[in-house]
Amino acid sequence: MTAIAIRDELARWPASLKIGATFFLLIVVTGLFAPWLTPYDPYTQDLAGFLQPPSWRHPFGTDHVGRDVLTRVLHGIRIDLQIGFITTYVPMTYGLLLGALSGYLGGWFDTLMMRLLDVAVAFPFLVLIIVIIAILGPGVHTIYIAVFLLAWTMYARLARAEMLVERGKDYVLAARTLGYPTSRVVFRHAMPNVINSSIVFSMADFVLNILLVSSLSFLGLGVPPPLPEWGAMVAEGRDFIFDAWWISTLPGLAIVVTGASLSLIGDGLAHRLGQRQRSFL
Amino acid sequence: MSRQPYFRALGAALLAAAATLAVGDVAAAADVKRGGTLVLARPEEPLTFNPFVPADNGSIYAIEQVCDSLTEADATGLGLRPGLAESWEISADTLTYVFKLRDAQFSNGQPVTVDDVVFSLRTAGGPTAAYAFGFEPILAVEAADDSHVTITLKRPYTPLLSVLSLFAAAIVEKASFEADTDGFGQKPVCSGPFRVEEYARGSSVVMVRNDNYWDIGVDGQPLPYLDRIEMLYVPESNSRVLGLRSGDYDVIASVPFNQARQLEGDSEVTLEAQPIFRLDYVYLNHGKAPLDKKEIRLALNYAADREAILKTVYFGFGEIPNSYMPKVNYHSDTVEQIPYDIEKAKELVAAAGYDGTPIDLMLSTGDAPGKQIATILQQAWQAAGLNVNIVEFESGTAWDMTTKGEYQAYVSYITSDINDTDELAVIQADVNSGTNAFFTWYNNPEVIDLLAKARQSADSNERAGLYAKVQDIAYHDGYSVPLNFVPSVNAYHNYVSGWRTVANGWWWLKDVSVDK
Repeated sequence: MTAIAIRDELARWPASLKIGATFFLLIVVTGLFAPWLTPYDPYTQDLAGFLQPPSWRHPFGTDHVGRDVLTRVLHGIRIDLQIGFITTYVPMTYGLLLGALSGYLGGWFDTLMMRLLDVAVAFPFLVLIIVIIAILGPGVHTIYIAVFLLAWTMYARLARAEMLVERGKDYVLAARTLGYPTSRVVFRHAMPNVINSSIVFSMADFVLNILLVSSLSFLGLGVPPPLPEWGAMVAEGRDFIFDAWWISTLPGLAIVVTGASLSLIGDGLAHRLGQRQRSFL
Repeated sequence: MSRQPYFRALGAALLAAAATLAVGDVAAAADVKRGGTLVLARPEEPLTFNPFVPADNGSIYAIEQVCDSLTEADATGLGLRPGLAESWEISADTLTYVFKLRDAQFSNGQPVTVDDVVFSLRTAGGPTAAYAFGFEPILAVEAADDSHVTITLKRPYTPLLSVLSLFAAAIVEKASFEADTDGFGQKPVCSGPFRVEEYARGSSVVMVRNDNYWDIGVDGQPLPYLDRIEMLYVPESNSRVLGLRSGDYDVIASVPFNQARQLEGDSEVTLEAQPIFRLDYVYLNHGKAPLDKKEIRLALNYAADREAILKTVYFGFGEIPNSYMPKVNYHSDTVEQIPYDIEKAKELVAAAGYDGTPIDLMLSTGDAPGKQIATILQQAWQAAGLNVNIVEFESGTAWDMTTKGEYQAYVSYITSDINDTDELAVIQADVNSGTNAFFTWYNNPEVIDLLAKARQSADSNERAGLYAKVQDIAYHDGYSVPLNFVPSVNAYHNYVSGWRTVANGWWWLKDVSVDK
């Protein structure tokens, strides 16, 4: 892609995509450089200086065991984005694969996949995750396993639905007539058109997954202390909300900003990808 | 010096005192307002009203309002007063107790008979009862005649009168209990000041006045003063404080420590910080490596900065302990405290030959002070050279794991239900007591021997000496990591009178009145 092509592409980006992407990029960069941005360590306690309100020394104040809240929020970026990324894109990969194949092949494979999917979505998502965590014990790895078992279903549905439309279209029929193997037809020809809705959904899913982990940490089922996960920080500060609002509020704000930027990206992407799809037709 | 003026002065003083007394009585009679509803928000809820089943304070404190026992804790909780037994006589060899029953009635109007007493006490000491260990020295409970019950002992057992004040020694109506034991857990038939009208698990208990209650109030009329109590289950501490401030609740139990100081400044409410028989501590499972080594357990103690914990977690409420158990009657102040000394902790870890086996420090989900403590201890213990993970479990699961010994360290607490050291000393330090030394599997034959002697001794000086020795040994064996003698911190509106937390942790709601 040449510089001009990039400029042309950027010019077509809706404002929401630009704003969202800028914010998100900022967050990622901040997360990468977190250890060098503040003089404090996210784990070191200063029990003598606990519950200090925001000041120049501690812009976000200190928490109930005297840790610098800003430092913990910045280090939290790494944890939350990592968890969000893994819990979104790993299930998306095989969800898309299974869904696309299911939609393309039909027959017994489709029936089997859809029944499996029905089983997975028959239970309330959060309840099922809590059950799995109750069996395996709390921790990040358990959350991964639980989410991997359940989160692919949405992507599989989306991909299957798109594939059912795509497989009757001329270009797919043409590819099949030319004798291309199924894998090539599915992954090279149809997939680029199937994937759009999943990419847009993944942005919303990313936000939901961060919120999920935050909720689980809030319930004590997620990331164990003393890791600076945002949801866990909100939960820890909850009991001090009247006399030390900053412990809960500022990590909560970090969740909001990250969520908002991802939602903007999702919105913009939907717009932009929709444009592209129309321009092909 | 003339004697006459002296006498005159004395006479005048006596007269004045008499006048004050009389006025006091009249004032008291006028002061107590009868009727009304008390709304009490608690962080715990009763699980059952069957007194022979529970061991949780949610149930115990509620049962205390509904059920009577032969003796009961007095207004402070430090002493005893007659309950359903009007009086008692103890034989010279201290092996036989004869109790004279009061003329009292159950909440359904039936009289309290010797049959009910015999049945209740036998059930309390029966094989399925949770507090059977307290009744173990009892040989027999028998009816002497229509109004007397005889208890004979296998061996001298000084704490008996205190044990009979336990909620677990409650006198239930035999007929109702036997007819429907499960139903009894929902709607008990006892002779206490209140009876249960409505019990909705997970939200509330409504109690109403028991018109048949025997005790008399300061105005000469039967107790209780209140018509109705709504005991609400409000586990969220902020909600309790907000509810108190908005006037939805008249009293809240367990004010979070960080908000207690603010409530102190509120002119409409009174903050009560009452020392009770409670110790917050970290349970240690001596059966699990590396906690089977005394050096490691002591290292955990030396590395715990209790001053800092008292300040940041308890906001100054409480007292740094020098014991493995709460401050009950035979508590010794002379046992030397283990100081905060991180260097000593490091030495002990090295001396123990620590191989890096991680210690899982468990806490119950939602226990905010517990989480804060765990976070502080984790850092301190890691500084001493130990590997520590914090694990959270839902409180029921955590308790289950504790009782089965499937834990290493657990941030929790204990309270005593009676005013005698015996209950907890035996539960906590005697591995044969039925709870495996309160789930620590602490086994020191010397301690067990001393406890048995203390139980049999009637001489309080001797008992004090024995319990002090046990306290010294168990504490310095690294029985647990004691953190704080925590007071009960509650708050109530100024229109509530007669509220007082007894040392056992509960409150005699029969003495409470509201005037709003």
